Amino acid sequence: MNYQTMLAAVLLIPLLGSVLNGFFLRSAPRLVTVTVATLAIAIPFVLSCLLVFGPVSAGEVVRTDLFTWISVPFNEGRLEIPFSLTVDRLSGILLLIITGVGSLIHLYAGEYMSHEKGVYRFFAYLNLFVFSMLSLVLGSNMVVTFLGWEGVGVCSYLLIGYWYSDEANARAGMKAFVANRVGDLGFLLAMFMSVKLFGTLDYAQIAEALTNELAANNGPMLTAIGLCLLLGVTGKSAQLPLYIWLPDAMAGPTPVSALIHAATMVTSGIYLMTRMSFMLVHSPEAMTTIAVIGAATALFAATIGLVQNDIKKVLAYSTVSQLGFMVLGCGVGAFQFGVAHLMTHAFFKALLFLGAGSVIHAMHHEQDIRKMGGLIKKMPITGWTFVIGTLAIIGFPGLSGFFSKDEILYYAWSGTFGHPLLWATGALAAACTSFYMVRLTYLVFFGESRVEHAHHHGHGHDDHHHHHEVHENPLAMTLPLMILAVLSVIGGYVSMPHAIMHVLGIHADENLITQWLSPVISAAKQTMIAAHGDAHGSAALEWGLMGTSTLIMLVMSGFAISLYKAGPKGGESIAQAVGGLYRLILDKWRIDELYQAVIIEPLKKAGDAFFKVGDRAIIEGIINEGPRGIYLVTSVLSDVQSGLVRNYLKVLFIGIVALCIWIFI
Amino acid sequence: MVSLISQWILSLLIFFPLLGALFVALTKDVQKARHLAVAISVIEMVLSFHLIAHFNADSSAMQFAQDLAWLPHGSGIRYTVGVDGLSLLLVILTTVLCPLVFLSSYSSIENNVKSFLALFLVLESAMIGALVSLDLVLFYVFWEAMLIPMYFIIGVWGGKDRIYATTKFFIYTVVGSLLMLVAFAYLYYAHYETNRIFTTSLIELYKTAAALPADTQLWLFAATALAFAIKVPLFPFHTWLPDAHVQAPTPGSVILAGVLLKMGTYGLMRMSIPMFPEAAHTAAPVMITLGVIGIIYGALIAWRQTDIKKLVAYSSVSHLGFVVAGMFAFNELGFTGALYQMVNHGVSTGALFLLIGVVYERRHTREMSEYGGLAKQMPWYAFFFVVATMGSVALPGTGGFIGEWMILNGVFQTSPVLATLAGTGVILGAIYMLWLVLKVVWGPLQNEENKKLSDCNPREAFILGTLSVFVFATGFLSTPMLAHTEPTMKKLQQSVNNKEAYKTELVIHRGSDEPLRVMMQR
Repeated sequence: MNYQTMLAAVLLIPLLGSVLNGFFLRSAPRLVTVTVATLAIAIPFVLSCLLVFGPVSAGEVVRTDLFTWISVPFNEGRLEIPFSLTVDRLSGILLLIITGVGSLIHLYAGEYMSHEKGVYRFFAYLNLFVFSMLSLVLGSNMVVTFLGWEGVGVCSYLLIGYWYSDEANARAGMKAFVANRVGDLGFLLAMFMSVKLFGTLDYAQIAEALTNELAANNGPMLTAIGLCLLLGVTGKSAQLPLYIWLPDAMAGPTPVSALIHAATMVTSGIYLMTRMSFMLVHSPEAMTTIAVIGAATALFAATIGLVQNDIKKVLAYSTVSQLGFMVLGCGVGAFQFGVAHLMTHAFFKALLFLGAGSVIHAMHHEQDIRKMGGLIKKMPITGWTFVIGTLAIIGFPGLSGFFSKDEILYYAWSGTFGHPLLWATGALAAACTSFYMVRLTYLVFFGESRVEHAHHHGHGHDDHHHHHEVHENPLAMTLPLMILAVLSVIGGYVSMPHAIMHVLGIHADENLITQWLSPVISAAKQTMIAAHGDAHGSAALEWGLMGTSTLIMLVMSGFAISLYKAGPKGGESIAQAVGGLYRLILDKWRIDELYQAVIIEPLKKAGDAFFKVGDRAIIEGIINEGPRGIYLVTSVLSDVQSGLVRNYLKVLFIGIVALCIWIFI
Repeated sequence: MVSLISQWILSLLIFFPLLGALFVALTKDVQKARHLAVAISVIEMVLSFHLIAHFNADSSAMQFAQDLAWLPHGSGIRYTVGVDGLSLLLVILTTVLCPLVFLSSYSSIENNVKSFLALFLVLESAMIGALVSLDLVLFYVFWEAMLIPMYFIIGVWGGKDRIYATTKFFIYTVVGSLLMLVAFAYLYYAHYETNRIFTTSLIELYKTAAALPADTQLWLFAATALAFAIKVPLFPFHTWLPDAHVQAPTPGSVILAGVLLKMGTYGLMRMSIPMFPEAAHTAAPVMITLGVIGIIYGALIAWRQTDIKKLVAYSSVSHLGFVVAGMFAFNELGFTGALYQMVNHGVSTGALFLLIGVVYERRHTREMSEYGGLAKQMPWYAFFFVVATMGSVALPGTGGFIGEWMILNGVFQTSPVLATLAGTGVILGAIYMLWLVLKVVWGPLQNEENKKLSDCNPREAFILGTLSVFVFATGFLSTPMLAHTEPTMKKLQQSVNNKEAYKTELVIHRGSDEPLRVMMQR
């Protein structure tokens, strides 16, 4: 099999899996469904490894054109949009994450969903999601990416609302779709502007067409493209102001939260910005806006995470916050560390979500952390892997999050578009992260058990005998946890800071991730250096910032442990001291209510007014005055209309005769 | 043989259903009449595939043309038909939708079945005729002939307020048509003034019309555009549509949304724009603006409806706003997108009306609150519903995306602000359609009545499955489909932008293999 075929197979096998499960294996045993679905991701993973560690790692770009998708004459030439796939260094990383982490999550989900009926639907959606996600990252042009971009939105919609019998779940799905659509409009407009400016939507061709001269003459247009792309990013990657859908998306089954709402779909924005980095860096305005949005989201979401009591909600806000870090990284010009954090986050956040799912599964859908505690004794694998995930996300030295997050924070200060204030915002967000993650871990796994048994009485579930004892889950669920835990520990070494490399005696100019991504981001880097000079960092600054964040992390973690040592009531004294603020944060800053009042309700009122006043009163009023007169006459005549077809046909005949006479004369 | 068929194919397509109507009316057994109607429409569809197979995709000429004497010689009124890239797709859309509509009528039409089937076949003839006519009087005859069967379909087989709805439908359309007729008459005499010869040939009158002074052009443009705008319907002439849709029986709604509305947008692209390029330019900002208003206005109203059919009817106002906005961008993207979106709207909205029909026949209500949770009871129905919705909201991978993307892209190249406003329709479309799905398909299955519902039967599944395939096929196969239309769209674009007469020719197939190209023989 040549590499082109392999690339096509990577994309199409998950689609095949989805079709098989969705149409042909509806009544197959669960084991068949799960096996088909998992293989449909695992085989592409193997192929992806061959591709990425073969030609891509050797510096090649593998491209395959499947068919011509859209082809229209345009401005004397043609606008050709082939359905074309490309794997390069950037899409290679994402390919491995999507299929690798995806396989683990499929394996896990087979067990997690084992009590569900009609599980084929779940796996058909999940495979379809992977297909969409792959077309997003493999697309050679913006339109194929957009197919994936909206495709993941639809799959997300279907999976969030998987348990559709509860209308709240279906509503959460709809909210996600609509919020994403707002962002998609930005993506669409960015495409139209690119067509106008470059006459093509192929990434490589745009990069070629975007000369310095063109950039200098079209500054405002490039800024507009950048900001429209940013709008798309805020929708898909859950940034301010469109992040509101992600916390609600937790209504979906937990493997979905792990795959879609932590590891893959929500990181699409980071992918897109890195893909378009060569263009974005031409506009300092767009870059600064991106950085500010990222930093603000990181902090804003982290504050909400401080007070949530639902295990998945804490992780959801944490995801929004971590995505903010990645966007911040891109915004200050350190795209490679945005991608590095994307990768490490995919490992540890998938781990945390799957761990949470393991807890929820064992606790029979209990999600309130106030009703947990001491679970590490009963679920040691889930517990300890969760601890590793937490240490990774809070940036404990040596674990993956430490490297990737610290690089982002360092560049937030010293990067081309960096500023100490951006660093400070990020550091504050990191402080909140340490607090809420340690609080979460401690309340769930340590201290006294607060698990209740009483509320299960009276339930008529068939698996009633399971309800009394919380215990560790089977290997199909714990194996993915263990693999992800290992990755969460070692995944960060690709983005080792210079200062540490120096101490360790590694003599390389760049760390691994920078080397790996250099073909993708070198254009952006050159533009930044040409326009703004070299980045203004130093080893001393790097050490200083690293030390500061480690200190902050240790202090906040210690603070969280001391506060919650005696259970969830520990935080109440602080909550009471800042009563109003606490309630505001607990209500998520009431942003949903704000949107409801300022956007949704006025639109509803407009719709009603258009119908009642616009259509009924004004248009009908004006136009119907004539017809109404005629109508009165016809209603007199309608006595003649006996409803018999014969009579109508008589009228028809007379009419046609009259018409013919009139034409001939 | 092939060239003989090519010579007669359009006349065959026009008159075969008409002949079929006679046979259907004469059939004694109702059930046999139903089968016969399906068979006729299927044969018609197969015949229409001759057009695809032998259409010269490199030409913008009027192919498979026929030009015969019709009315007394001095009048210049002839029977001239032909098909080009603009009408080809719409003819196929018509012939493909009709068999599905006849299949759906098995359960939706129970009284006066034979009359219904006969009228519907007459309607099919008229629609094909209007699409292929190249003579203004012939066009006008077919245009009005479409109106009459539809008037009865709503008026006899419609819902409670059918008489009000069908009268409104009739009057709105007739008022527009009369204005169009006045414009045609003016052209007829204007041509005589300059050439001392009467003709109603569209190809000839393109030249006459484009040569008229700008202000005359503008008046004539307004008269024809108004007729077509009512048919589209373009805001603010759309108020007849919700009533007609709500009252029409399922097959009527499907063909109304699927084909009849497209006659308006077709007319704009066939007549108003190429005939009066100067005036079209002057009017373009107004037309795009009305289209954009329609997109937003229709979408917001659709969102607030509780009657499912009314919601989908208003969604048509919104979708056709896109089509009108696209064609008045005057570039290939806009023209091609507009044409493609006509087809896609026919498929997805046709599917939605059929879906409404499926539950209406079971529950006899169109109130959204009566439904909810149908996915549990009717999983296949839910599947088809979601597919049609995705087509309607123009998800990439569906034809709607290609159409909407081209339209918005085309409008953006001329007016970024209007394109951005139109783009909000992409968001609003998701809101009202997903709201509909939320209320009908998802949620708890609470209503006792709904717990007894049966899922789609094989006949319904076949109809909806076919349309679902089209939803995705149009999403990936746009290049081969649009290859046929490209020369026509290109010529349209050039003639409008150079403000010169639209030039085309008839390609008449004779006995020999080499078709005769006729510029104009009279």
